Amino acid sequence: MGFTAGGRSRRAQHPAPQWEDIMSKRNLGLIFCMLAGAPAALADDGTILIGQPVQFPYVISQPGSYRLSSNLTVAANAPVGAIDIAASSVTLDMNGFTISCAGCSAGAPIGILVTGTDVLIRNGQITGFQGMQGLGAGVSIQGTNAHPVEATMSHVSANNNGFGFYSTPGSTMTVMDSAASDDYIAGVAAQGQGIILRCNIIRNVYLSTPGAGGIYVKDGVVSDNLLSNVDAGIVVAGNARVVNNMILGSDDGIRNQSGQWAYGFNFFGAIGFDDVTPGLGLSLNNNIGGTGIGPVRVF
Amino acid sequence: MSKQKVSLLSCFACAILPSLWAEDGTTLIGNVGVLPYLITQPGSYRLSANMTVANSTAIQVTASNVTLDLNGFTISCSACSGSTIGIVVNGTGVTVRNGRVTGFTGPEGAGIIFRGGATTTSDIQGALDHMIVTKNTSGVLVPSWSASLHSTVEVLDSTISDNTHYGIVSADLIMVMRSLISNNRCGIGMYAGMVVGSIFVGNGMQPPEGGIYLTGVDAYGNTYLRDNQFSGNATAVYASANGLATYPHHPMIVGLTANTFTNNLQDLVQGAYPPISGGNNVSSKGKVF
Repeated sequence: MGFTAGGRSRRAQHPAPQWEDIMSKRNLGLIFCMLAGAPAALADDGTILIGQPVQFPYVISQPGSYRLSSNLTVAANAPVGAIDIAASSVTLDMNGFTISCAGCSAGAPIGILVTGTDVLIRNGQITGFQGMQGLGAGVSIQGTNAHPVEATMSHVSANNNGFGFYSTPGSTMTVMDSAASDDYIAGVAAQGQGIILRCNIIRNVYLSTPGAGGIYVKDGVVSDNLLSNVDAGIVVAGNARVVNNMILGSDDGIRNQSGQWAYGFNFFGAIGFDDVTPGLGLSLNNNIGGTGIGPVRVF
Repeated sequence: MSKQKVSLLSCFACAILPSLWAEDGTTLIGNVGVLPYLITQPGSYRLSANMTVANSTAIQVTASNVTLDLNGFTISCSACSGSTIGIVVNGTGVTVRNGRVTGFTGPEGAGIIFRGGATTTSDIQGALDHMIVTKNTSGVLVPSWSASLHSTVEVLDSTISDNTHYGIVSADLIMVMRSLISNNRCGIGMYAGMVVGSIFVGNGMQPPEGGIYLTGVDAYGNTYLRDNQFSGNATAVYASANGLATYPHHPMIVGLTANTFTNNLQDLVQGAYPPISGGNNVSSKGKVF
């Protein structure tokens, strides 16, 4: 059983606190806890602060605005994630802090598990959630067709996890202005709808595993990303628009699996085999490549 | 308890704990005694005041996974000489955001440098976000610091201006997006990476100084310049390297797509190599290329 944070701001119920209220025994205790460096429950602006909990996962079961007030460190091989966002309409501001797993090596550990919808996660780092055979994820969005989930990550860095950012079919995952590096299977893997914009996706190792690559996307848009990965830069398995990306140093730039695609204005540099692997339903326009053996070309 | 007693309690608390933590747990950096201020633990740090140093490096981040929020404040140097630097980053996963770094004007001075430290055992990745780095010798440095380890730095939504040498110089992979690069002697000197949606104004005193100077010569020295505006620079883009002789199968190439060039002394200087490819670029000199 994890800890549940569902409290609403008491400040909203008491918009004009009196001195007697402020100096109540409870609040005096809170003041002294703050002086001692212990995490407080509420920020002045009503946001709920999350410090290092006694037990993981920290479950968010009510809509609202949440903010980390310290790094969160999960002990090795914890069976569940660090934070479980089960409620919808949640904003989690990581406030520049890091969620990490110290020595994860078993199972499929998850930094932040999202099963509620309309969730925004922003401004922090997630590292070390890599379990058996490299499974695990920094952020895992787990919607289903019966219960679709939409979640957005902004300014989040996911490093040294199994997947940096992962979503199941039935999910819509947006990752923007973020980074994923040194993740074992893929930087971003969107098994459903994926919108991946302006991200730095480097050195993620592809193990010929379904759902892998620097970016793996079923359907969606992949735009304005910088990718440098070992095997495949971008793997497309459905209907996707892949534009304005720079892909360096991969065996294949874009690897097609199925579906209809539109690829435009991408740059391919130092690609070992194919800039774009052959496929049906392909639309190409103004891509630059050919730094493998062969002339530079626009296609 | 009377208001006076509350005030007394507050003053006492402030006296014994001078701004160590913000309410949200962030470590506040206020009046710093010993310089540089060392960040040796992962976490979230925030300036609570301007920081002016006298000929010293201001902040050094040796830990990884750090967010340093300048909180709108300025880190500046007075009477700088030598190699003093505003912020030195040695760790990976470090983001510096939301403030200014200025006045680090020693001969080898710089606003911010990303460079792996002596104990760094992995590649480093860092980011600048909503920063103003101005009036230093060089603005942002990403040097080559290891034969086997690499750096990747993102510069997003920032202004890099009026630095007397380079605005940004990177010996590794860099990503610059939605930024203003103005009035530096050279806007960006780069080995590889992408520059997108940015504006280059008034860089360089005379050719070949100017907006972007490309230095890559091998397989990974590829550069993609797209959707940028170059205006009033000496040389907007300088791309001339002898790459083919050394790397016959994998020379660097430059992608140049949908950029606009206006009123530069030279729009593009291209040597025999690297090959430049792309299209939809527009120049005030009457060319579309």
